[in-house]
Amino acid sequence: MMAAERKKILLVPLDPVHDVGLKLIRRALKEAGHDTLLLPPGLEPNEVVSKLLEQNGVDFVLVSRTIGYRVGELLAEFVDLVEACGVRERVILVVGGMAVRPELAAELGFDAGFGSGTTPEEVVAYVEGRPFVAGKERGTGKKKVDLTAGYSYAYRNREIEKQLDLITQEILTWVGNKTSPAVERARLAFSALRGEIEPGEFREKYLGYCDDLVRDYYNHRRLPNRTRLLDREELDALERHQHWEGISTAVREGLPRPAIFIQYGTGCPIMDIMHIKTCEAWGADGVVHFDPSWGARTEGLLAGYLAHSEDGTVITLENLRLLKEYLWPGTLWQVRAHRGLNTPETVVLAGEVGADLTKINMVYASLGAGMDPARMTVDGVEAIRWAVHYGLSFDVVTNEELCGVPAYKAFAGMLIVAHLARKMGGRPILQPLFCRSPEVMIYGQMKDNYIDYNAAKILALQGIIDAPLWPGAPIGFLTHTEDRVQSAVTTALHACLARSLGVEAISIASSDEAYAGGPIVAASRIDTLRGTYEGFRFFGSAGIEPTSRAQEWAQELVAGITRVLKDVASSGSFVQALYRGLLGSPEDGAYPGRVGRGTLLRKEPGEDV
Amino acid sequence: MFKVGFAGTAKNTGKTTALMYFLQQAFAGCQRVGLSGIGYDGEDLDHLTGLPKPRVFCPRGTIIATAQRCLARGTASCRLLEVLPVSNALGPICLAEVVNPGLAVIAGPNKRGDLRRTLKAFARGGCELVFVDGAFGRMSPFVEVDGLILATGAARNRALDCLVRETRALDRIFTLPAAVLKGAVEGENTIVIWGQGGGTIRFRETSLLSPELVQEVARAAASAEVISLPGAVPGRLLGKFSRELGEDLAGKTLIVSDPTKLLVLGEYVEAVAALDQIAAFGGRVMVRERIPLLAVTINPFYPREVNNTFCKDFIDGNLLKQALAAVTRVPVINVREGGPAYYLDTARREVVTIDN
Repeated sequence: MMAAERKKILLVPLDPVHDVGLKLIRRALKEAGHDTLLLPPGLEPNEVVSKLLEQNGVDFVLVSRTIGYRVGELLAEFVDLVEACGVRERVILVVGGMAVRPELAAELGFDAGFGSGTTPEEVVAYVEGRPFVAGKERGTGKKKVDLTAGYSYAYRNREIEKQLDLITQEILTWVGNKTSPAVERARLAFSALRGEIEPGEFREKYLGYCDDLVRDYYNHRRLPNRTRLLDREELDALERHQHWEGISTAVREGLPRPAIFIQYGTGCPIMDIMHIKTCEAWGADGVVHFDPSWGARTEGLLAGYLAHSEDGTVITLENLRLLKEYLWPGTLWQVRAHRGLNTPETVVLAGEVGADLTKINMVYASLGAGMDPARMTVDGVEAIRWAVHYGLSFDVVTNEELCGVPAYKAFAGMLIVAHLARKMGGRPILQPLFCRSPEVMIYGQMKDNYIDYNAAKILALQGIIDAPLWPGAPIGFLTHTEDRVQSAVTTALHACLARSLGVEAISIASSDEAYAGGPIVAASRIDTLRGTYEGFRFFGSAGIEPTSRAQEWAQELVAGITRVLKDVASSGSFVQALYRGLLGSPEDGAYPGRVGRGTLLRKEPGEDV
Repeated sequence: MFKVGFAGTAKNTGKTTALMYFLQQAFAGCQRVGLSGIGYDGEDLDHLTGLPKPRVFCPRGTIIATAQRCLARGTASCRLLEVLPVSNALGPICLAEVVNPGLAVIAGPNKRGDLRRTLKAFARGGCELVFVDGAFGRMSPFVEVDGLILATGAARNRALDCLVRETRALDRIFTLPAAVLKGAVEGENTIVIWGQGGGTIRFRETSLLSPELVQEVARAAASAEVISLPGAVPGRLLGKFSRELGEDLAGKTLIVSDPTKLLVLGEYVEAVAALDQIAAFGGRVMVRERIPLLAVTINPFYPREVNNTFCKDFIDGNLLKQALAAVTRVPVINVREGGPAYYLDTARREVVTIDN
């Protein structure tokens, strides 16, 4: 039954031959119960207007024409003729075709314009006066999703579960009464944000746990190198820049998975917002905040709207709030906390500001990001505790693979952190890398194809535990070149493989991310989002079939993981295992970090969160 | 309030450039100026050719009518005065005052009725002078303005003789004498024929859009005195009408609603050929509503297509100006000639004329 008022629509192919698009639209309009009359192609404007005048009560005239040489003039003459005949006020004129945009429609005198990619449903919605808020129908897939929903976290491999139990129990016991400057700052920040502590007292205590760089900033307004405060005019300009066009279509278009994440961190939160809005409009489901590497090696967080002239956007409460303000409500937002001296405090800020996800992995932070294993373990446990408090799920990344650590060792570390999170009530997401890692370059697992070893990783993890998987980060890492087309294609193919394997989410790079040598450009983000969209469209529900090697490698990975976990468990100390290289050794390319070494403190008796 | 339209015979004929000079001049005269347009102006690159376009700079105090979402697209800071009950393909149109000068994107009402409503809003806002920028060769909405500045040039046609012929035609059409309809036919908005004992014949149609209708109206008009054609009258079909009636046109008056109705489909030259033919047979053509032509601006620039893209090119501006000045009574101004000072002087004379 038709809900909307029946409309009379004249469909005009103002084109010598083409009317296919209008035929599709006519079918949708007829199905919706509207009266349609499709004119033949090749009529002159005066003939079309004659037909319009002959028909009584036409509500809409939908003109189709691909823009080309002198076509603008032809369309403008048509509109002018309708006006001169005295019927312009009575009909709504719409133009559609390749290269048509609303601006051009306005210039030509039409009431609306639809370009390539417009669906018949969108036109029906327009005719019925329903808001098609840049894709009500097409955008339905962009509702915020819980990546961990439906997963039991039940183990399918009991031996691995047993080893993980032993290791994580030891970790919790070891952390026991230890604390760190970061743990204390996180608690102070939490109290201050709730107004439970006077600003003066907070500042004094907080700065007591900070580096000179942070103290200088608060006490003397001395900014770190390559940073500056955004001025009022810049923030006002952002406020005025409100014509975001909204969401066009989800890359995964209506299907529940995988959610597509992009990573931002241009250094400037305003520029980040531009990138985020671009990616939202081109169908990204989520965005990941990248902070500068020096921020992770500094005790304490700065404050204010801070811009940074190199990679990574400084984490401050104000920057995060600004970014959150401009996020579309359906966009998932991850603030990384995994690899620095401010890990617990970052989780507190992310939770307070309203992030959906964070990122925690003390193994990677210790072996691939320069952090002292003991300090990072204490901070990591605290960060997980805060993530549980705020209901933030988090991924456990395995970027130590990029240093050369073989996948089975990296996965063992990831599973330890994930199991620890489960013990503490968290909902972790496993993040295996979909990359051409040093390991495969040496041992040749990707000599023939990129499918089998990536598939093996997923099959191995799926065989161990029923947990969500989020390959990253970004997928296809180290298969990208400076050629944007090549990069977009390899990203799209890895995305299709990930989708075929049934993962929950993927992170994709821009097509110039690996070789930008500086700021990346918005157009290159669109390359990979569009490429992935087309890949998903191409494969649909059809899958990619790995060879038998995938299963063999999956079994090898599981065996390797089991072996490593047994070694760690029998060593009796997770932290010592990190120092000793059981989860990644100097021979592999992993070195236990030194940042934060010797900074652990003893907790006051009876103190807890 | 005086309303000036800037119409072009085609895209890229210099409408916006001309408008900018007039806008500055009007501010020099301390007038409260309103600005709108029936297209989309102020973008840095042309939607179709990709070539740079003149930007629209608005001094402080300019009242602009544009799509509300375009306010943020320029650098001018604006204070919203009113959201009008009028919209275009970019959404609702608003009236806003420029509080910090800068560039603006103007996408105003693009149909006649909406332009009328917008002009009333300008009047409520206290504007003394309103400029309305055109789009492509669209003329019909300009029925609502008090005077027209017409931009033409190489972008319309690179052949000088064609531009001369067209400009002569436009001058002729815009200077057609005015007629006033009274009595029973005064409010008619369809084709009506009357006089000389044939009675009054009313047609259902407003416009002469098909050869069949031309024949039908011509047959009915054979013994009539007055033929009122309130809608569109394309030049070619007016020519056919003239040929159908031939010598029967002697003593007959054709009344067209306004000059824009003879300009549809860009058939000016054909329309004027028909006017000449009607005059030769002893008939005449008048308009119910005149739109005074104030000036013709010329632009020797044209976008030249090279390998599926466009580049800038020019014809001889002096030759063009001399040739067009010979066929129109209004001033002919080259937007690239003599610099702003010359242009402003010419513009001042025109604005003074408007004031008087």
